[in-house]
Amino acid sequence: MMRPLMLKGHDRALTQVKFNREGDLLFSVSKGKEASIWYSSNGERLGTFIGHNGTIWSIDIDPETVFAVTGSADFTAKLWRVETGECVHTWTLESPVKRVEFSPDGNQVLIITDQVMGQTGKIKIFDIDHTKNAQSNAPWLEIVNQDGPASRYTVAGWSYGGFYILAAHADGKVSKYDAKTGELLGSVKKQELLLTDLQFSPDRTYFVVSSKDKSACLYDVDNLDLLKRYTADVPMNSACLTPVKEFVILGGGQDAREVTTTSLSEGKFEARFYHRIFEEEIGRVKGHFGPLNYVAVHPKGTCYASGSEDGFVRLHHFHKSYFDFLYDVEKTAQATQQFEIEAK
Amino acid sequence: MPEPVEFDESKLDLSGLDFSDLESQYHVEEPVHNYDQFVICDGAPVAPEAKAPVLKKVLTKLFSQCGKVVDMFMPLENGQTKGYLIIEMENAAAADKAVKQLNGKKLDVKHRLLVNKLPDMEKYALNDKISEEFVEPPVPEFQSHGYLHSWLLDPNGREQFVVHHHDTVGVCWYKKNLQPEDVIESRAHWTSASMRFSPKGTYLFSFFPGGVQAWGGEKFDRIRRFVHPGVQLLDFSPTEKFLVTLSPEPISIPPEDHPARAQCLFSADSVGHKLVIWDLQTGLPVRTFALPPNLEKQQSMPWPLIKWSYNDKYCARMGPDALAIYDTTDDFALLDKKLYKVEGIADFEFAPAGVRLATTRRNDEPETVLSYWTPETVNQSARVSVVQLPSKQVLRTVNLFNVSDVKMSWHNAGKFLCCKVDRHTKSKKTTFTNLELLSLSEKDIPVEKIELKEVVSAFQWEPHGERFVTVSKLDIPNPNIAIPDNIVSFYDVEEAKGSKQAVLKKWVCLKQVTKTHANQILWSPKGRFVAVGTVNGTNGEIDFYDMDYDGEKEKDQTAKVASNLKLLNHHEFKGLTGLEWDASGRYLAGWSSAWRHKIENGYKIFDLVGNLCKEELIDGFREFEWRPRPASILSANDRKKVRKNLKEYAAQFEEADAMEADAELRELILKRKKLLTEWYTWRSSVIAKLKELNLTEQQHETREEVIEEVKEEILEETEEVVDRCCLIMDRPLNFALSTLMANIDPHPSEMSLTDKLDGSRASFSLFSLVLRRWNSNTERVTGVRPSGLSTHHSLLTVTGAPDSLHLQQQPVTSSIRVDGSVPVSVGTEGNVVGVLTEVWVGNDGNVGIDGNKGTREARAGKSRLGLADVVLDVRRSSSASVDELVTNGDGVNVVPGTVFLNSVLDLGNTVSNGVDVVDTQEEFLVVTLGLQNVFDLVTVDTVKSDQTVVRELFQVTLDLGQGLTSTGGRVRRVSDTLGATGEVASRGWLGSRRAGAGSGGLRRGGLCAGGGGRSV
Repeated sequence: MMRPLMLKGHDRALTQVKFNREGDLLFSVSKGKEASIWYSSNGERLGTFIGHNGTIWSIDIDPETVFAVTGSADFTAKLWRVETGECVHTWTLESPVKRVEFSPDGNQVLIITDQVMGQTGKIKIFDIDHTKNAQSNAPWLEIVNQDGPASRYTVAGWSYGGFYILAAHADGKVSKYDAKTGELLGSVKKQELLLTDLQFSPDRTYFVVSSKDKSACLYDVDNLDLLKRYTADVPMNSACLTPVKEFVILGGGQDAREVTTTSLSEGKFEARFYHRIFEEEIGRVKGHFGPLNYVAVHPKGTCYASGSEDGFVRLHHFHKSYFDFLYDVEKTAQATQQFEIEAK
Repeated sequence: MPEPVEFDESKLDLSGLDFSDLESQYHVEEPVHNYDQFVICDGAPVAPEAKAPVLKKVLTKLFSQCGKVVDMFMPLENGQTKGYLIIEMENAAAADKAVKQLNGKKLDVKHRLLVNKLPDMEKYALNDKISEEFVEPPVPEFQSHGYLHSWLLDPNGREQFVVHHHDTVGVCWYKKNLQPEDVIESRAHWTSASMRFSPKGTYLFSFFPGGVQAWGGEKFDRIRRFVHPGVQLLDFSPTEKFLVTLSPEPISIPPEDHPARAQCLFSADSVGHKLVIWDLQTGLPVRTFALPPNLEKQQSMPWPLIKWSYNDKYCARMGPDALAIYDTTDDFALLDKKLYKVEGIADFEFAPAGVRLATTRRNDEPETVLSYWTPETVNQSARVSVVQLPSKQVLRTVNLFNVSDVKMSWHNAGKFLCCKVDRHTKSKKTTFTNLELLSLSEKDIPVEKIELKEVVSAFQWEPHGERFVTVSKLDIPNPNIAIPDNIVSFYDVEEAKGSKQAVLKKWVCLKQVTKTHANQILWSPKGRFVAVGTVNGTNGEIDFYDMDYDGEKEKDQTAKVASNLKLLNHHEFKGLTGLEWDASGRYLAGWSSAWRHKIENGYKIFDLVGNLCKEELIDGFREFEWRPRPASILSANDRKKVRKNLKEYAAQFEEADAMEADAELRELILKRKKLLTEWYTWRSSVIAKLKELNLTEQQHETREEVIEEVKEEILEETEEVVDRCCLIMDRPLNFALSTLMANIDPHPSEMSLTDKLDGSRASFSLFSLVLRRWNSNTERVTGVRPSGLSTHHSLLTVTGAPDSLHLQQQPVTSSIRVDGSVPVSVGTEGNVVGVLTEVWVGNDGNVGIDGNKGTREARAGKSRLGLADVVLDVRRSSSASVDELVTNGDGVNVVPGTVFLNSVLDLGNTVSNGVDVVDTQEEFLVVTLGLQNVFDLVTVDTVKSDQTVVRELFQVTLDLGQGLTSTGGRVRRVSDTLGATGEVASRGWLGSRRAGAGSGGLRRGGLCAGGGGRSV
């Protein structure tokens, strides 16, 4: 189905991999202290961001690929100039940073600080000034977790237009906040256990949330309606929505500490493809030998990358057969549509 | 004279006087109208005045039992007593006692005393609380639950089953390999424990903290609640008349005036009891029992505590030294009004069916029989007794010696009773089993004894048959549980020879299966087929046997019996925790419950010969239960008819199945269509909204710069139609290894290779042909080698995707490697398969050859592993070895000599700077990767190293080459460095050439590599 490139540049487990908006670059961060940038076309490493002093949990790139932001367990988030690889700004926070993400226009960044060591989990939003290096250290907005450590924030992201912030909690809850005021607009709990990832559709009107409860759910932004549910047989660490095709890619696997030595428990370290609309599993891609911690898909839908606990990033380019794959029902629907257009 | 002062009392100031002393002195107690000590007694005889004193005396005497009678008032009217009287007792307690004891007391045949407390009369009867007119209490409207046997009317005769996972319980129709159809929507939190069907399947029972509930009918509506707080165990009488529940919490009754009292079905007598028998029809408790004192503190409860005769007429429970037998038709009164004393009784069983004894006349009802056993005492042997009810006549006793335990197994039709007698040797160190088989229907009930050396752990009669199966095991001290040492034995009755006279039945063992872990025997409810399961939660297995196999009898079975045993099927089911046949005997379900462990939770359903019909792995799966069926109402004649026309029916059923499958498909398509429409409708609404907000995708479109442009110009092109292409190696090879790289364009539709090498001159040569840029037009590749060159290695490598590959006459050492993004089939003649079976080759999700599945020992003989995503999966083996290994990315071949792998070997892909790590503990090997579009080849015969990590491709080539030439075949570590990409390509070539050249003098141990050959 596809040709994989194996990117080895990290010594330790990957935590996040991400494409920039054009998809020509792939950014990866791991439990090591460096972030790596790769050419997505051939897997060659372009460079690294060196400066963090602990696990980097998260990375994001602004729409213009000018800045990248990273969040680390060393209590800092750093802003990097992608072109030169220099760190232009460092925010120092009161607890480890679990997730960072630029707003869709790139003018703001949200940072989730973890609820540990007596600190309350927060979503902090900072303004980004593209014209200069130094950034404001004062958060523009702070959303504080009100519900105690059991439902701390794990991941969050921006909706279409940057209007809302959707945050996932450790207890399976998903909350929606107004990105301007921080007001809680609603929350919904359809999953159990820790939510591990939240990724948006290309137009940011709906999103998929993966959970340790072995499922991933698709919600719409406006009403927080549960649209679809994809169930797997092992805990899921990440899920992403493919452009072009109506698929969902899920990544996960038995946690390393739960894999017993018997032959019974195979880790199932596979990327799983589900049909987005029919909720049915279509295929799996094997290859990793640790749980998949993150899956990301190229913005044009031509390839996807998976970062695993085993320290590898695998970059799979889709073949023609992938794009040709359609359910009979879909084929019929397309044909009908075609026919109607011709008739007009 | 002084004017008398007028004393005006009203003017007197009394405020200064203290009257308290007077007040206390003359204080009069308010009469307390407390009638608590009065009772009113109605229903006394109406007697003439003359006899009143006598009556008074009688009643005073009666009431004095409850306390001192202070006064008795007996009103008279017209010279006669009125039939009621008011009695004052000494205190309220005595009055209470009188009400409790004497209310309803029969004075004589005609008169029954009704005793009530006087205040109660006031409370309930006075103040017009009772109207004169009788108002009929409203009879609650009859609520139909539908036909409780509706599931039996299913036109297809399908089975129902219950699946319980997490907190959700569903009832489904079983539809073979299709998705089970829900009978009702799954219900969350339906039960707080498990679900149970009643014995005939009429009711489904669920638990809740306050008791159990019965559900039934088409929609599984609630039919009845049985309130018994804390209930934990549940049992039924065989005809579904009665239900037995047991709760560790003693029954308590809410106080008299509590509103909950009205709902409480238990009477005051039941307080403290734990065991309840309910009438299933009315939902009322019919009898409650306290636990016998010896069971009160026991950890594990023997269950059932109450056993029933086959027709529910009698039930019995065991106490110390006695059996309490109750007659259910006589209000659960003790049979003959007394306990049945049995000194030291240890266990008892009712016959599960009516027994036809030799003395039973043809038209009589079959007898109710029960058996019990008593252990040895000082001067009495242990014995099993068979008793008939209600006469309590002992039909047979069997005396036994040195007994440690007896288990009684009745045949389901009551024809036989097997007493599994575990006996101990004199030293009491080991035990062994005797089977005492009683034939109930024969005259005097003869006993056949089978003496065994082993201990029998499981015994099962064939339903309706005469055969049985046992699981036994030698009793040895300190057994190693890892060693399978259970023995499954199959017994049948020896065929009578000659005379037709019924001789004493003799059971013989027709076959034993030894060295197994099997521990459960499950006969099909219809007999003949038996499943033997290993149910221990970790390594479950199921064996399916046919006792009347049609084919030839195996030689190791005794000819004395009619049975012909055949193992039909064997299945492994890792997490197996339970097995159950469906009521029709068509399917066997096995499941793995999350209550026990988390391994492979889910269920599998097999047909009676052991074909897997349906498999579902469900996370958090808990239990599975087939719905039982009542006995068939078909007559023997009907059955015969069915059997005769079986073929016809089968054809009909198959057709129906096929249609059903079609219907399911259609439904699926419709469902998908609906989902698709819903989705796109929703999407278009969202897109419209985005447009309104001016947030459409176009806004984000940005400039894209093409930095590099590669132009390819075709200067010359010749076209040639080649239908058949031969590659002929007609030149003896100087190098030990020869590589041929062929870029073939256009693509011939067929290609054959012929090696014309002279075997004697190239005895160590390796012939490698690599066909690249293959095209799917080529459908067939044929390789032919002279058969004499058996020591040669032959490698055929095809990149691209031929539809099929055909090799002929390849010797054992040949291998094949295929990369392709379309499914590739490999057709082989000769012994190629034997080599390939050990290798797992996967390519982009399309498995070319999957050999490792099912092989326990991973011995990859000569293995070529694929281009992109190759794993040699040797995890299942403890001693994996790879004799020869080729990975062929688009760039590199590495052919090592001997490799012992102890861990996963991941041979990577073709990234310019990708890496592969091979961790091996012994002689190792390494590997690979290639730059795209550069072909390179390295051959290493023997490399020894503790551990080698190869980081970069071309460095490998060089290092290996150098390492081998310089150190004589030892590579310790290959470090990671890398030159510029372009340069490396050529160095790679050089490297292998040089290595090849340098190794000329080495025999096998050296490195033999070289580029050569010719393109077409």
